[in-house]
Amino acid sequence: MSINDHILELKNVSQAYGSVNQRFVAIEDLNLIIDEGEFVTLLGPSGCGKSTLLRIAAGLQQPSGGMVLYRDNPLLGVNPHNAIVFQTFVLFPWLTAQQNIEVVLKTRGIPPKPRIARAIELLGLVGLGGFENAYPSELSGGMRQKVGFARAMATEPELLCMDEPFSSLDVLSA
Amino acid sequence: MAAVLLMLLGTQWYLLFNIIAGATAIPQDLKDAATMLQLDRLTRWRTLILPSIFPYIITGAITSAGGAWNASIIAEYIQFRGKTFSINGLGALISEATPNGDYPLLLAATLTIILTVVIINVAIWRRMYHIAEENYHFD
Repeated sequence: MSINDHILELKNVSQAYGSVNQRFVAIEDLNLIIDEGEFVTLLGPSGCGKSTLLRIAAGLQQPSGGMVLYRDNPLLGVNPHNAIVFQTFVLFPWLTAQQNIEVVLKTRGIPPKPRIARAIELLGLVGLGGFENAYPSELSGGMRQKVGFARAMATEPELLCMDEPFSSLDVLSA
Repeated sequence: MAAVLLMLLGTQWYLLFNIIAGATAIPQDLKDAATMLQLDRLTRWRTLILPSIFPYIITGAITSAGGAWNASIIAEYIQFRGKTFSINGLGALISEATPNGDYPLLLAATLTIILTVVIINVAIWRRMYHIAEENYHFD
């Protein structure tokens, strides 16, 4: 087993907000290694920095201290191999469930027919078959979260980060 | 042509400031999602930015149009250095009729503007607002 099996590595990552006088430290000196095939859960009380850590790990935010390495390369900007399922779903409200997924596939240059088929397939996988043409405002919270899942899976990521992914789902779905 | 340009100069600010307000109001998490999903520039504009600022463009356009009606009264009839510049238009009619005391003409011109504005309001702006409310609002 070589040391290059690490997919994600956080080295001495810190995140602080504010100026010298009013400094709020969200994360201090955190080290984390994630290898291929691993399933890691972060548990903690509200406000302890879980979402911040996820954003830093995904490259949405640069940490105020420390370094993030993806496959041993420093992460500069958003990681294309990492998909995030947000706590607040974050779907485009003016697109249907199917269109929300299709837009991801369209960016990757997939032509219309396979694109539509894949979007419908992904929605079926999360149990939303029949709701392809529903707008997010017409879906329940749990259904929107499922669309968020399907959308993240459409990017076929190497690393999937999920922020409180089961908060809106019923027991059976989760 | 010059009158149109003059009106544009006066009213473009309504549109600009509304669009700026719209651009700053785009939710950060939607921007993050678009970045995370690796949307290319054109798709980002078409799926995130333009739909987000659509209601603000409409508000800006309505305000601008209203301002332009006001500006037309000045822009279409100007007295400068003893010379009078005017073109055919409702604004010019109002500007001419007022000092001449031609009240029937003044009334007719004003009523015409009012009627035109109301028709445009119902036929165009109300429809646009309906579209904006139905499709482009945030939850």
